[in-house]
Amino acid sequence: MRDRGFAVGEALLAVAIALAVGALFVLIADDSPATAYEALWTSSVGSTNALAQSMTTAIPIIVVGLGMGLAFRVGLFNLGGEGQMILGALTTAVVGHALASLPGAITFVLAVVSGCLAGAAWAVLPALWEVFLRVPLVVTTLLLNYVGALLATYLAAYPLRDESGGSTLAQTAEIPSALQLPIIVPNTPLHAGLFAAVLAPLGVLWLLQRTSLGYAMRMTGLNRDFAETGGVPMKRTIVTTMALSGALCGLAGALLVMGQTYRYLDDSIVSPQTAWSGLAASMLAGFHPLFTFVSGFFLAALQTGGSGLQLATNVPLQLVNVIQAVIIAMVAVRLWLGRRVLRR
Amino acid sequence: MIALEGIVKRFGALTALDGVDLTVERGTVHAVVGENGAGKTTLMGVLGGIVAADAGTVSLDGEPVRIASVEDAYAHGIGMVHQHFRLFRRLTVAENVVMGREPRRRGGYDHAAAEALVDELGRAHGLRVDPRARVGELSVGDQQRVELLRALHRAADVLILDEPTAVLTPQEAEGLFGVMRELAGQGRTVLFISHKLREVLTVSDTVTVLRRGSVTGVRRASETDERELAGLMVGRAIESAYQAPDTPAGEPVLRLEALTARGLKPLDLEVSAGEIVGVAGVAGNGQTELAEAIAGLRPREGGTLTIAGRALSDATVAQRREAGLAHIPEDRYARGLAREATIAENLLMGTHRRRFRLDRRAMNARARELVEAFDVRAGDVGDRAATLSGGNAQKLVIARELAGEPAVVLACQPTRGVDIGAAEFVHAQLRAARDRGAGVLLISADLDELLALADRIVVLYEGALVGESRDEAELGLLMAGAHA
Ligand SMILES: Nc1ncnc2c1ncn2[C@@H]1O[C@H](COP(=O)(O)OP(=O)(O)O)[C@@H](O)[C@H]1O
Ligand SMILES: [Mg+2]
Repeated sequence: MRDRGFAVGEALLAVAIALAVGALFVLIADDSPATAYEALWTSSVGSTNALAQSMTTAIPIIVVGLGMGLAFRVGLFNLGGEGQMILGALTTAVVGHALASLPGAITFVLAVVSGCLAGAAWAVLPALWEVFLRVPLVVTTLLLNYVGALLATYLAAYPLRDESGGSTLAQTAEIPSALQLPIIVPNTPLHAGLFAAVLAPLGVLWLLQRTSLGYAMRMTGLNRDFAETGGVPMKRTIVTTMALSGALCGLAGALLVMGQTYRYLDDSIVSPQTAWSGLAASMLAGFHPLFTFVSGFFLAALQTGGSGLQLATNVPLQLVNVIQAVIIAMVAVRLWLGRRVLRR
Repeated sequence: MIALEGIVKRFGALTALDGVDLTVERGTVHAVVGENGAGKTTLMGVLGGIVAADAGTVSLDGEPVRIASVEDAYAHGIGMVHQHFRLFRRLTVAENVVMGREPRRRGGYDHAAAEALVDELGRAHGLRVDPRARVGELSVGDQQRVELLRALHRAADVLILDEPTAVLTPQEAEGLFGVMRELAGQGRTVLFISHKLREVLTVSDTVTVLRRGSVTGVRRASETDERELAGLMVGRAIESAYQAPDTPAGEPVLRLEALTARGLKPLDLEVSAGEIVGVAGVAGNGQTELAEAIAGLRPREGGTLTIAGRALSDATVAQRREAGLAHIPEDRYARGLAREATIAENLLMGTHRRRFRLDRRAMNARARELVEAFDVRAGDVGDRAATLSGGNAQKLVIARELAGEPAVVLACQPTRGVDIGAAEFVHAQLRAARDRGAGVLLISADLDELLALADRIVVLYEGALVGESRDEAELGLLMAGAHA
């Protein structure tokens, strides 16, 4: 199957060039690229602990990337993954805490579902604006990131703030233990959310390739006029796609809360740029769900390795940023070229 | 006299030209016709210095010459206007025309002289274009004039025009034919490539027919007709005469009562089961709007629409299709298919909603049946639709739309840009749809097509239906707006 013009070979080439550029920077800084990359390797995948750490970081990146990528596949530039993820995280944390007295399984389901719904709502809003008011979705989704982040900060700092521990941080109360995902590799942070990161890509692939809704979505992405002429209801498809996309982003937030922070912790999503790493992973994967798992893990490993690199060598953490930036730039150029070719 | 002898050109395993002879008298318009891929462009490229032949000779007035580059061709007074324009959109008309041969003053480019020169040249040949206009802002017809002026400025005695009318409106084409005749009258030679036989017969003196890289005939235009030329082009007799239906038309299956939408005046129209109603008109008189209004892609502003007895004035596209409407869109790549989707996926569109699960095996099996039944020349149904040639892409659209035995077929420009063989197939399919009882509304800019297919022909002019006729002269008048 040949998807939106980004073959595996090209992705690998982008990565190779980025690593080469990174090596050049290390040389300029008068260091040995070999040592630097060795340190990067060791501290990202070189030990069980490092590997587990990388995989843990990858979980929300993969799921949020999957969500944003799903919208992109349909030609909807959902840049609001960050806001949708924040809303999902906050809602899961709050609902989980509020329903702590119910049986564990029920709390669990309701908390996860409400996190997905919150993410979906934050994505459906701009979809409705686009469909009924013709306000470009690419702008509104982006702006809603700021609204979502500020709203969550306010809620976590004031009305929903955790007063119990006397903490000075803006954070909500801890979720009940029934909601805390079990660690699956002892003495590492890797939690059961990994299963979601494995199953979600399969689910998205199934949706796109094996259901008529997914077919309509893909055809809309390939040629919207064609789909419309064939009877695909355009408004409904846009709203549905954005709802699914937002729900996945919300799920990414829920997984972060249930697997890592156990509460909504202010700025646990914006500063690490989780959503944007997700989009980069998705683009690098040519928006293919299964490849998104691989590229998401790769970018996460790069980030994990960055910290180790700084400890072991004189090379600053920024090397990782250089590598990531080069990859993203090349992928973006390639996609832009591909679109131009397709339009001809 | 311009003579090409024994020209052979191979592209890898493909022999594009297989020993072609072409003789052109100076001071005439000489047409080269043939289906897409026959080798017309390649042959002209040999004369224009763009294609290097593997064998054969070119001689001008008895002298053998070597034309190895475009500059060589110009040196021999040969200029080519390409199928796809090669203009600088951001430069002015004058700049484009004189590029490479600029008038100079004190070492710099002389704007005023260039503009005067282009003005003069345009006047002399009836090719008026504002020399100061930016090319990117011109209509396609005007851009073509710029290409012609450029070739003329380079003192071309022999002008090669590669499918110049493909992008023109009928009026613009008429204008171009005038220019071509005039150039020939001045003693220049015009080589005219086309696959539209009607215009070839009106404008040229001699016609050379190419088929699969070989010449299949040379005829004087006055001594041949479309039928013979079409036969030479495809290598067999072509059935293009009108065939009346065996049974009279039945109940109305498509009815428009005072239907209006943006760009359309209130329209009344009825298409009955078992008839083909043609809609004639010069492009841009509401054809697209009419099709979209019927298909459900353009909101209704008034009136009513009935399909197969069901009132569907404001129905969605899907509801209309459900009621039995098939839609062959005018631009197959814009609305007819998704180039990056597979052939099977393209064939599924419209029928995919039946179940939530998508059965890929059933989808592929059905696609294989349709590809077979509608003679779509395709590799595998899993290949992208972009791999299909224009004619086969259109067959794909036809296959999808006609497979469900629709009650109403809305066919828009169904043979635009496809070769004769594919066009003939499309026509046969539309006739077959009519004969099994469908009502066909055929919107076409090609009058020949309408006369060959339609049982009734109505004329669309400035968004209104202005009359009905089957007489060619009368239709021409109606299309030009000469109704009471
Ligand atoms: N540069 C090329 N490389 C390979 N094949 C070519 C090239 N140019 C033309 N052909 C092939 O040669 C044949 C004749 O093409 P062309 O002269 O463009 O036909 P026409 O102009 O009559 O439509 C076609 O099969 C075409 O695909
Ligand atoms: Mg050609």
